[in-house]
Amino acid sequence: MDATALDTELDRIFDDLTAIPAFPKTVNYALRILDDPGSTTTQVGRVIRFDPALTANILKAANSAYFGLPRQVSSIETAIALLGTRQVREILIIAASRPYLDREIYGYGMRQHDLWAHSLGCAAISEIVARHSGFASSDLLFTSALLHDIGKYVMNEHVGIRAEEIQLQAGVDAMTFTEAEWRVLGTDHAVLGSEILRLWEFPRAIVRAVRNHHDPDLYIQDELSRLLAFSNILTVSLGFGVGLDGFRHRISPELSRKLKLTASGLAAIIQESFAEWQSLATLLA
Amino acid sequence: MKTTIPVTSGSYAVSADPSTALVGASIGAGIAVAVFDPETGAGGLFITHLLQTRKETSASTAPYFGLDTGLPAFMKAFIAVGGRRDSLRVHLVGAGEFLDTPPFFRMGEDLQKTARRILEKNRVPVAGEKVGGPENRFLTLDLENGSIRVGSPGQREVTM
Repeated sequence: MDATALDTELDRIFDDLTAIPAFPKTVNYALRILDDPGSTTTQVGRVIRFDPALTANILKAANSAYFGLPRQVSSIETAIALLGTRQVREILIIAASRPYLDREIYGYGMRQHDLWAHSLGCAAISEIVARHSGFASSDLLFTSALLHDIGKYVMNEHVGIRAEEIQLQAGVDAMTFTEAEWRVLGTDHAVLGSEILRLWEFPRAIVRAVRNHHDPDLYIQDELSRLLAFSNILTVSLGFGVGLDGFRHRISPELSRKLKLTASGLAAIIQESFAEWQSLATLLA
Repeated sequence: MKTTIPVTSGSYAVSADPSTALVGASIGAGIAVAVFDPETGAGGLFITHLLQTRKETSASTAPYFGLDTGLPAFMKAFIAVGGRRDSLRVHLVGAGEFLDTPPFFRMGEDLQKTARRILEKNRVPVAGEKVGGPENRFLTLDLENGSIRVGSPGQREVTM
């Protein structure tokens, strides 16, 4: 493809980027309330109860086995009262992300619920990974993991139209899928995803980790990016919502050493991940 | 009507009901062992992502079988529903790999080699394989005729 055609393609992609529906302001406001140490969960409830679609998604998430409430709840105030701040934060982000992620992403060979399953699976695995590695900012890792493929929302149609070309590049030249995306479209879903999160004013560390998650030279540089890349590698390896690009990436030869991984530690994470996967069933339905 | 039984990682299913199909929906880097006896119509599917069954298991979940104890338990269950050692056919599917995977992360290759070793040690030959490469495979074992259909996202399904 010549440079002018590539520029036109990029213009279209970035037009689509600015047209993406904004992350719900209600959720951003509720997350800011949670950041205030003097706030109460009742305040959060007051903010979100006026958004019926969000409330329905929050209740669905809260009643899933993953969050382990002792009983089914039907009011947002009760759900919030029974859950801790960390869980309320996770549920808010899950509920707000679903409309972007629970859709067919045909450009990447992902059926209706595949990207949602992949995103939730990666978020659940990231919690286990954070626990095993003693990573303090598990909330940043959780959000990064849940939204790491948000760029596919915008890239879907562009990749879909040029799918054969991208797959051919990836297959013949043994490129990674992101390298093939660059070759054909001039950008990739990780870069696009980080740009979306930057527009939505997510923390810089999350924007960076999402940008880095497929680039071994970049993700090896900081801990959040490494842990996100590792969580994603496991999500693909365990087969949680994997599209045609899933395995078409490289792993840094330094990753296991930097994360101080052992074979027995990896086996424990894998087993715990499958147990957690079962508890996500309600959220995936 | 065909009854579909999904088989998840760390578990197995066996049956001799010809109206049954056993399905491994998304194998990733794991290994799926599909067994069928054309003489008796018995078949089974075992999927795992671990070489060894771990002692530490959660009380709230079903046991997760690694290859070491899972494969013998699976074969025993297969024989219990009518499968016979001298007429069975074994296929291995899965073991997806990233590009340039460092040794630590070669989960699929380790699983495939270990599964072969355990089977060969027990004088069970592997009739066919669809393993390795950057593919996330799914498979269906139809117990009506023992056919195994294997596919991956963006690829056409093939019968082994």
